[in-house]
Amino acid sequence: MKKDKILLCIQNLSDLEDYEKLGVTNFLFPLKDYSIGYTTFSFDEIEKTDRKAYILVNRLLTDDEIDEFLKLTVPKNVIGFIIEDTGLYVVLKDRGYTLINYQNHLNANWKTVCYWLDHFDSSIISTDITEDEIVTIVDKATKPLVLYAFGYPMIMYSRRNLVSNYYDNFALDPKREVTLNDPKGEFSFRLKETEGGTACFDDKILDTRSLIEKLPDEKIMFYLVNTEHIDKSDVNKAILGEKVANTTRGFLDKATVYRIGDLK
Amino acid sequence: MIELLSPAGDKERLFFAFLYGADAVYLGGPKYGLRANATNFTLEELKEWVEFSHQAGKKVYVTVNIVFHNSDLQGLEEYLRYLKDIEVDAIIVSDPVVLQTIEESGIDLEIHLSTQASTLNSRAAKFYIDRGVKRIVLAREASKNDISRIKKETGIDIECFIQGAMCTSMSGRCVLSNYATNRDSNRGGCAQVCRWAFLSEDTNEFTIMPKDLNMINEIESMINIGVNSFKIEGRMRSIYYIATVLHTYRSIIDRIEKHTLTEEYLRYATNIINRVANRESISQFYNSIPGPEGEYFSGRKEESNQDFLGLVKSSDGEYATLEVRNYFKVGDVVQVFGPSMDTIEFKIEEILDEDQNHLEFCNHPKEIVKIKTSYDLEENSMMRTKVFDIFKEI
Repeated sequence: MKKDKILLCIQNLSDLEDYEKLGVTNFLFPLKDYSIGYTTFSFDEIEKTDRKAYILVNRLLTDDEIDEFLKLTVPKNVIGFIIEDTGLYVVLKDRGYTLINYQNHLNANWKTVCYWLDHFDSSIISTDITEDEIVTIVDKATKPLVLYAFGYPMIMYSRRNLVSNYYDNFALDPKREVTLNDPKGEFSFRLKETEGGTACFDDKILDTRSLIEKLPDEKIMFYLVNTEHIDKSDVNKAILGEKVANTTRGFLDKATVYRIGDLK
Repeated sequence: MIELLSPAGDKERLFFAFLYGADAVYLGGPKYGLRANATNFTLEELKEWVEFSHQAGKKVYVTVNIVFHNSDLQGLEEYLRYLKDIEVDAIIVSDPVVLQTIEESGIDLEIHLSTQASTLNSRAAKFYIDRGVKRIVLAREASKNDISRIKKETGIDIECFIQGAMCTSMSGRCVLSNYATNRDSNRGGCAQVCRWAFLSEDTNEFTIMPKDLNMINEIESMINIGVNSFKIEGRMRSIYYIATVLHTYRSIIDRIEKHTLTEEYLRYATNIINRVANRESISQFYNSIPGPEGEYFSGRKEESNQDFLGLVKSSDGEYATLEVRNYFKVGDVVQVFGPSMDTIEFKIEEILDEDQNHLEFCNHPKEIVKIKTSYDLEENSMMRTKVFDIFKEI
């Protein structure tokens, strides 16, 4: 991974300098009240970092929420937004920011990716598709794309407060994060509740770095490294191209099926 | 016009949906729908049943709402052209590749934006309106305020779910099934992992399963804020469920239009709906984000009953011929509701088999029997166990 192409989603502001020392220059800040499942930061905090900042708004918004967003003063060091909501795209599109589409699970074929590239500056490629599918998408894309290179993948999000509802219901000590395990021990996932609902993450880090050499450099805008819930030492390893434990290649080698009869 | 929109998982369900008050149905063809493991309709059947529906003055919307992968793109244009040729009334789409294919190919199909696009605001709605979308099926998370603003600020035709299962996730934003079972939730393979029970450090039965949606008490409000189409979930539900739900919501809409809807009737209708559904239901996100009351927390809570006793095949004012569905016996008090008849109640005095032998009870599903009744029961009306007193107008 070329260091200057890493877009690192930050978890602690105090880590910025350390990551810069490793050569990372592009940082993504999940925005307080507008991002789900992440450690978030206010625009004030982001402004004080005095660094070029991309902002993550990874949830769908109501009109009232967009109205509130528009009342915020966006700091001058913000140069781009990674967003999911099409309505937010509409209100941001002519303001000079770099806009990256993050309808993660929905960007699963090259034509759809190209459709959004008519509007956005880039798109994050789906984390649910095969290596061959990604290679084709990158090849046919009309603009450089963003590859989710390293980090826990979000596999569901709900507008409900799934964790606190549970603990409220049974009058237990409140929690906002819980790991759920399949009784057969075949898989587990982590629920994390924040403003706006509950995000669900796989319990393994998605590591697609091995794919990078198959993708033309000029067709990639960023390699996204999501540090959320990952030890800094493992993030460092990822940046330095070293092996990290508890990782998976996700669906890179394993196409999903949709008819029960196609299951092997 | 207020549209009551029903699922139609197959030909029988489509037939009963129209019979019991649906103005339109939505269904899946052989490709690109989100019920890959349902019966669905073949291309030939689609043509046949679109014609049937149009002859009955009804509409058919076809789901083309998967998230497309590269391999799904081949054949899309031909499929859309076929849907145009057989004159489906609209297609329900979520992936922009369908919008683009329609635009580039000049296929004149009405487009409804699927709830899979999870539209929650008027700005997103306008984006899609500018790209040819004529109706938006809003996210099930849209509140009364959200719906009202979208309607006021866009004027678009709005379709909202009013009854049936909810996803835990925002629609289209869930791949739990992919991770847990390798079945692709956004291509029709959802394994409903959100309805499974999991272990956590605090419990061995942690579920994140929502209760169902039930908007009986909000229909008038929804009409007032401009909802055009009222959609029922459940392409794989039984004809009894479809008939009961449609019959009930149809009667509510009709009463609203005639200004005769009462609190008493709403209570009665709620009882009927709650009884036919196999899960508890609430109005979910309409008035506020649901708290613990909107979910189940331990295990799969689904209760079935055997209320559906028989389907009326014919009646001569003395005997009614029924196809048996569940056990009933001489002496049972039953109720019958039909496509255009009010619910009636009577006691079963006599049961005859096809050879005119007297039966004390029947317990063979699909068996044809006759019951003695002085009522002239409508063909395709349904006999059910009496659970609640029938509603009597004051």
